[in-house]
Amino acid sequence: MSCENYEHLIALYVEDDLFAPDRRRVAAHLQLCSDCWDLAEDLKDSQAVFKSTRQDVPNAAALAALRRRVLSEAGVHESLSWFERFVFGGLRRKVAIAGLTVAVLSSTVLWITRSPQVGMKTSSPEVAMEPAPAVVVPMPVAEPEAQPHRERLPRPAPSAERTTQVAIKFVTDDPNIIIYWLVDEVVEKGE
Amino acid sequence: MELSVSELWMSQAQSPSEEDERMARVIALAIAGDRAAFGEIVIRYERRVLTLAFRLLGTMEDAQDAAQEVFLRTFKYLRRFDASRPLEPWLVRTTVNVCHGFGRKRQEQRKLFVQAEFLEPADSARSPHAELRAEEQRRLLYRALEGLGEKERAAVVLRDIEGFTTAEVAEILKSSEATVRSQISAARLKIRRVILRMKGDPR
Repeated sequence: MSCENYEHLIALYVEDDLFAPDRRRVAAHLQLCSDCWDLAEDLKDSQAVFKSTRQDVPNAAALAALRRRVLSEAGVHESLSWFERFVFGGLRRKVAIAGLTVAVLSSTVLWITRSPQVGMKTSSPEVAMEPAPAVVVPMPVAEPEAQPHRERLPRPAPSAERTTQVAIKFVTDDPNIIIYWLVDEVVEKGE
Repeated sequence: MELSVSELWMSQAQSPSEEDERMARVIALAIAGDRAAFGEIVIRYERRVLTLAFRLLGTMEDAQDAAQEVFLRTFKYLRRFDASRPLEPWLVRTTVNVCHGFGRKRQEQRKLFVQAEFLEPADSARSPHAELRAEEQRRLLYRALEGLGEKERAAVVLRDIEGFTTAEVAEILKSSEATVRSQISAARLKIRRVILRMKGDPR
């Protein structure tokens, strides 16, 4: 096994990260190889520096800034109502609400612009567009029956013509709708 | 008897187990909706989370963004947390998850670890000479971390700086121990080469 192959094992050996068989093999090699011995010493030095930094702490200004930010954010979240937290809670929720709003608005606009055409399709256009057939049924109004004799008021002078009323019945396609139209028909005297 | 968070804050913990017990009660209060208790959790763990995020990301700006996200996730999901378990491992895992791929594109355009002064030694009682030497070593180390890929950096930071075992690192990174060993080994060799080059050593 070459020294190059031992390098990775030595890097683990210095902190006792090897299993027993490898550890014994590396220890035996270090007794024989000065280059690998130097490598092990260098690694031990850098490990000593690592360990010396374990107790390092961030400076007071950095800590104070972090604390201020965290407590401020946590306070904001706490003071919001459930509705505010729901609406303003996070970016994903905001995007979701914005998307939902756009979808609702788009649907409403589409519904408004397309609804008349949809209504015409559902009914029968032929029936709706064509005028209902009008059946004219002349219904002469019956003459009043002869009244028992009584004293009559003087009549106005009879005119040369008289009128009779005629009822016109319009039958629509809707059986519930029948239109009656009363018209005066002029009848020549002597007819 | 229930204690308010201020009473808990005032009580002096005498041992790690007492401290753990006290934090468990603080966490239970925070889960119950006590905002002051959540504030104490932030104060208790902000150093840990921000330092780890800085070591994983390499800039204090990104580290602060990531740490903020970690605590806000904690605030959001704390009700799901089992208060009888320690919070710190969960925070470490969350920090690693948040930092994974965090602002990768932003980071590609930046120099990382140029703001190493944001991390300071916890003890400042050393001699000026020792202080200067330690500062220089720290600068070299962070510059060496810059040359690592995201996964190698995460593995070596968790194992060599944070001090987790290989098995724990594998669990945090959701990887196998063999993979983590391979990443750690490669990272240590790269760091050694970078440090030698920066020192002007021809090896």
